[in-house]
Amino acid sequence: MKPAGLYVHVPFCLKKCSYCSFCSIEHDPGMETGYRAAVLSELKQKTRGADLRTFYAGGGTPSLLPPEYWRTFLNELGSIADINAINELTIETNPGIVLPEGIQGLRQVGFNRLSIGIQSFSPEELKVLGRIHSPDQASEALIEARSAGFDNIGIDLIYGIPGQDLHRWENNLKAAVQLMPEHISCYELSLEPGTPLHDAVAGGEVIKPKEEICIEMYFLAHSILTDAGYLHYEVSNYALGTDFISKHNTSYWDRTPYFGLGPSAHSFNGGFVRSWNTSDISNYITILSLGNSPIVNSESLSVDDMVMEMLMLGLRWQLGFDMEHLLEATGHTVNAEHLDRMIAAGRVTLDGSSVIPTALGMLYADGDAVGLIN
Amino acid sequence: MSVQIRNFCIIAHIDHGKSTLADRLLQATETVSKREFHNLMLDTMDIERERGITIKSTAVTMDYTSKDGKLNELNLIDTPGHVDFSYEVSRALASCEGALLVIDAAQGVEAQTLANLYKAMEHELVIIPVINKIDLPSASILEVMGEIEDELGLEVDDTVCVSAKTGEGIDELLEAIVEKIPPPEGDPDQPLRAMVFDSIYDPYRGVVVYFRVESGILRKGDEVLLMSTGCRHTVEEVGRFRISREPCRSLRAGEVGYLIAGIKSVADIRSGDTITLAETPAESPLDGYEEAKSVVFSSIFPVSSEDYEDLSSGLERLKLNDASLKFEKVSSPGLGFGFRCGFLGLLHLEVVQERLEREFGLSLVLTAPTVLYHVALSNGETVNVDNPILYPDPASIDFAEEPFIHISIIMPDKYIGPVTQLILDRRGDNYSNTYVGRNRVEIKADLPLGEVVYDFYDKLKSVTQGYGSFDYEPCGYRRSDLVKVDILVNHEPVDALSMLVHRDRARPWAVGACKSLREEIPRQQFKIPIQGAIGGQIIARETITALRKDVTAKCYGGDITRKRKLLDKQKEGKKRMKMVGQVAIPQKAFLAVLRRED
Repeated sequence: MKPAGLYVHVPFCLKKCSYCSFCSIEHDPGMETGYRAAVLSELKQKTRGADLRTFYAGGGTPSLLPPEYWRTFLNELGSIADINAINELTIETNPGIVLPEGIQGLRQVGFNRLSIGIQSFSPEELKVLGRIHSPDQASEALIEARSAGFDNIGIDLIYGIPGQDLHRWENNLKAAVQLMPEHISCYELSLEPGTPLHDAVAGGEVIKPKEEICIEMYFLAHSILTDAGYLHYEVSNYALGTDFISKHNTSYWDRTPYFGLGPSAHSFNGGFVRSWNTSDISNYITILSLGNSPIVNSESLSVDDMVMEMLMLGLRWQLGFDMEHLLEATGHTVNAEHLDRMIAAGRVTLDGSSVIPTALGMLYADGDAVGLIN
Repeated sequence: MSVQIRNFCIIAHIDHGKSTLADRLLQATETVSKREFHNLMLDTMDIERERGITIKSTAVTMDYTSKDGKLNELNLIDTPGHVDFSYEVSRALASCEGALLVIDAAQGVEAQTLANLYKAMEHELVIIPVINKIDLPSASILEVMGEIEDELGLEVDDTVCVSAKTGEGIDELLEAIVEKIPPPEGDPDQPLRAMVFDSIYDPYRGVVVYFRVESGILRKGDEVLLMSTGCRHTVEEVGRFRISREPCRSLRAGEVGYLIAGIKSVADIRSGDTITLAETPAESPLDGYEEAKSVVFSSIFPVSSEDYEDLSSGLERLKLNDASLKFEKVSSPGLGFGFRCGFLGLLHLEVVQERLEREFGLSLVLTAPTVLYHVALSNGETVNVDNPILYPDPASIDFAEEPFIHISIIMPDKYIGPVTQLILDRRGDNYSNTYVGRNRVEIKADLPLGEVVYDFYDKLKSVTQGYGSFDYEPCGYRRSDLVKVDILVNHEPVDALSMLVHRDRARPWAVGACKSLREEIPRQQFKIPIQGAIGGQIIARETITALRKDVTAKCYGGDITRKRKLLDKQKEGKKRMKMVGQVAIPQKAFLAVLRRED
């Protein structure tokens, strides 16, 4: 049995953000009761005997569920798998949520990594994003987490927000660096059709910064954060040294197997099969109450699919991909002409048979993955 | 009892029901059984059915016992309907004594009705007007009768009203064919002269030659002589057209049929040629034979160089059945190996392209269509240029000449304005117009052929809303201020997009081409200048800005599938791209330049 990751998707929020297209709904106590039981039964269905190394509770807002619930969940997990082998247990939280037992409760039940969705330190930007918290609450959440004993804290920032300019983004980055979290994610805002913010931009109510400004923001984050000692290890992710690279997220990029629980969660067996759950929350609850599987679809990866995955995932993070490994695993080589062009343009460097993207190169991971396919 | 022969064709404006009427005649004469019947029997190629055009001529023989008790052999010859194939049409018409002129009862007389009528009249055919679709609620038979009399100048009394859909009037039509169309003349005792009106390639039997016997008798086993080429062949099989071929012992003067004689390719036989007997040849061939002349030239390249062999065998296969298709190998610095091809016209080019893509699964890039120019060099030599790449250095050129055609356009007079403008835009000259009927006008002018092969026909159809009929004949070469325009993508000339044009038209063409490319070439990781140039002089310029990033910021919670599928689409798109220098140019960008709206 290969070492694997475990993800739980909690689809509840106090309020949905204006840019969010994830599977989440506004908090509903009745639905939550059904969901709690459903996830526990899915846990038993899927992960019995699994060799788990990372655990990640994401959402939605997983910290809406009280620490007591997570204690039950982890106890249940401990009864079917070796919980001591799990060395990273992450939970996402929203600074706007005041937890009954404080962040301390989460630390006490066993989480050792906290991911705080700060997104911005500017009140105007938080308003555009439809966030429920203030900049002060964000800083307080981090301080509280520290005093609760979390020594591995990540925060999320978003750039390219309507109304944001380079100066404001710089302030956000500086505010983040001052708090010295172990991990910082900087995501460019992507406008997903069907979200209120997408419609507001499409309707001209607010204006998203131009592409060239967003690129400058990307490089500004790279220079400020690397100067502050962070390692730019993935297109959107920075860690304060290799110890703090998100182990769980790494499993997505290096094709480690993972189990996904909860509505819309994806699973991968580490070889040829990817599968995913229903994203309808009521269906999810009903299916599991009947003892059935919530998996609605799966795909078998062809060799071509594997090649595409290894390239597109490899090119977005610091380890890149290894050409010898690619050849062994798939029998495929890359397009040498395209690789030469990437090297000449400074998008990748070669380290033996490994192709390592530069900060510039990570921006072109998608097009270059396609270009490298023979 | 002797059999009476009637040879006829059906001519009509597009969509007036020509093919459906043919289907109904086949059924009424029991030429085809119910079991064998399918709609549009005579249009055998997919492209013919889809585009509603006939590319190859076909023929079918129907037996019909008329009311007077006589046995008749009715030979229906179906003809191509487009100006590109006008020579082929003329050969098919020359094989008939009569024509059914089909007019839609709801639409009335339209442009092609007239153009087709004039062609039939040139061949002195007896015309039977047929009003079709009389079952339609919107049918206005009396009005159409009026048009037939006033606009076409035909006898209303000769008109037959039918519904090809319901079968109403079909019996009357068969009677009219027997009564009104004269039997073929021609003496079976004279030396054999038979006119080839088409030929097709049968993979099992070789070439099947379609012909009409004008005089004499052709028998199985005869050694025949093709009078234009001097080739001799022994006739293995001779027969009539039923719904499939039906061998017989001989065909005599007036009859229409086919022969098979071990001929390997249709290129060895030309429509309009005269077949005679090798032993007792006729003194002279029949009139009207012409060599196949390519009018439009273009180079065809496979998007993926691995497909070159497939393209080569695809062209060979099409050539078996299309004598007018000419091609030879070429190599282009930008596009690799391909073929320089000659076509009868732009439609012919499009049909060939479509068949190569559809029947052989090829993805192709075609260069801008061009015509044959005469270039007089300062040293006294004259060279013929049909490919912009081969255009001599301007410094060595004394003068250049381009082919002109004399065009005739017939249309309702309300379109005079836009059509005149179109002709002037295309450098038309010797313009005149005359009324040919009430509200109907014929415009005549001389135009450079190069301006016509490039979407003129489409433009004409659009400005006349389909009511303009168009015909042309070559009228020699004239001096022209010709320049070669090159298109440079990222400073590399794309030879496939080089174009020979009149100096006045160079700049608009280059500006349009650069714009089309800017719209169709996806942004790449560097800035791409696109320029149009005459020699070293830049006359148009556009820029494709650099793509600054393409990565998606976040890989949602392990949903790799969605992301990979997006990239799979791009990977598919890449297969249809051609690398020119460092720039990947999609096939549709080439097409956009060549099919651009002005």
